[in-house]
Amino acid sequence: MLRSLFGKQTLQRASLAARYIATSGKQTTAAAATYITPEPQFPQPLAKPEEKRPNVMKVIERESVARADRDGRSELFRRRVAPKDRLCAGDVVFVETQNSMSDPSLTSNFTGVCIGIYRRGIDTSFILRNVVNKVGVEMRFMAYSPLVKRIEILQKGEGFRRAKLFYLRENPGKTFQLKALKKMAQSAAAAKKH
Amino acid sequence: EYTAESQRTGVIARKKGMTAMWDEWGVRVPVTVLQLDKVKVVSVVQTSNASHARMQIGFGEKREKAVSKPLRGHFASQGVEPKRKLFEFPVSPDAVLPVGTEITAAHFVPGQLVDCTAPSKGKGFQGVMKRWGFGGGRASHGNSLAHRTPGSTGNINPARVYPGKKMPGRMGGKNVTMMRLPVMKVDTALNCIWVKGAVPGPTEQFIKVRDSIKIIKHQVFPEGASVPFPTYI
Repeated sequence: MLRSLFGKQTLQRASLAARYIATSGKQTTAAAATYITPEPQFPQPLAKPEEKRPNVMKVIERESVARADRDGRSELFRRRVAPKDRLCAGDVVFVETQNSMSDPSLTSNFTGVCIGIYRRGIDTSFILRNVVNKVGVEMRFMAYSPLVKRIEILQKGEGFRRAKLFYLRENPGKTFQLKALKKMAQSAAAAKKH
Repeated sequence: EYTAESQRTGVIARKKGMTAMWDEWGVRVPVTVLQLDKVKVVSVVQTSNASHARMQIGFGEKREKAVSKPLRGHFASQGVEPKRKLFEFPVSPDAVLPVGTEITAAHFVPGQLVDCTAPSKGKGFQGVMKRWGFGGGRASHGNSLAHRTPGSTGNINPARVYPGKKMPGRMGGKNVTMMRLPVMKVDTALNCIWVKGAVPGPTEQFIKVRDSIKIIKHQVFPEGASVPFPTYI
């Protein structure tokens, strides 16, 4: 019996289901599993062939990113990808986030100029800046969070020669005066991702 | 079978580093990766207390030449290959394992609570503010040479300083136990467990991991979980 439960798999912890029955409104059976098997399963640890004794943290980082990379968004953050395909500082980006895991249809949108990318494996994040109702707003999104549903580049930036564009806080120039992008953002929000 | 009074053996694991994961609610959880490596039962020690035994658990491997003669004889008499690290764990009589049993990461149940013990990182000779959390003195307003000093060390009587008075000294490097850390993930392919939060000691430290002994509100194991007792075979 034990072998069927554990076996050669990775098992992830499930929270105390009883606590969340009231808020989510879903009925969980009394015999609900106390653990979740994460998908996809990797039968062999993701080690490169040239690594004779692979560092376990590197393997775990690669596996976590591969598992969290549901829609190929890791291509936006790889350095070896051509600039036109990856996320760069200065791009106008549209992000759709889920507000809660209990209801996937409730989403929020945010569009902004990417002023910084932090490549940290599973903790990879980026900051978007926009001026909303004459108030500057910055939002930092964790790229591999399950709440971040969609990341789309609306327009590639041109003429930005820095990795971090914090100077835009004092000297925005014409960066945030793009009315055409409002329309692009709205159409991106309305677009259904297949 | 597992009962509330049983105490399973602990394991020795190596702290490999920290990373993060997202749970099923989208909440980011920082985790420490603890890896097991050839963890075996080396010997069973009977104590004067008849109702409890101690199990000596070994971690890793060591070359025959690198092991001292007394230890070599000890391993030979038990029939176990030389181990790098040895620790003892008290167990209840129903959880005693035979010598030579290998304990893997599947010994733990995802969602259970564990205690992690290890020597903390050494901080060297530290002042009283960092070591004991003293408030120090004023930064300005005429303060002379007493910004981070302990201040007074006692009263007029008994005209001496008590032994054990908190003063500057070596900080860190002592055994610290982090209690009731949830096991977030059990990885049987890499033979490691992911434990929420931080664990004392630097990377590559040997950590003693055992089922939590403090039972406050929630039980050690999640409801409905089948506990591999005495270990996963």
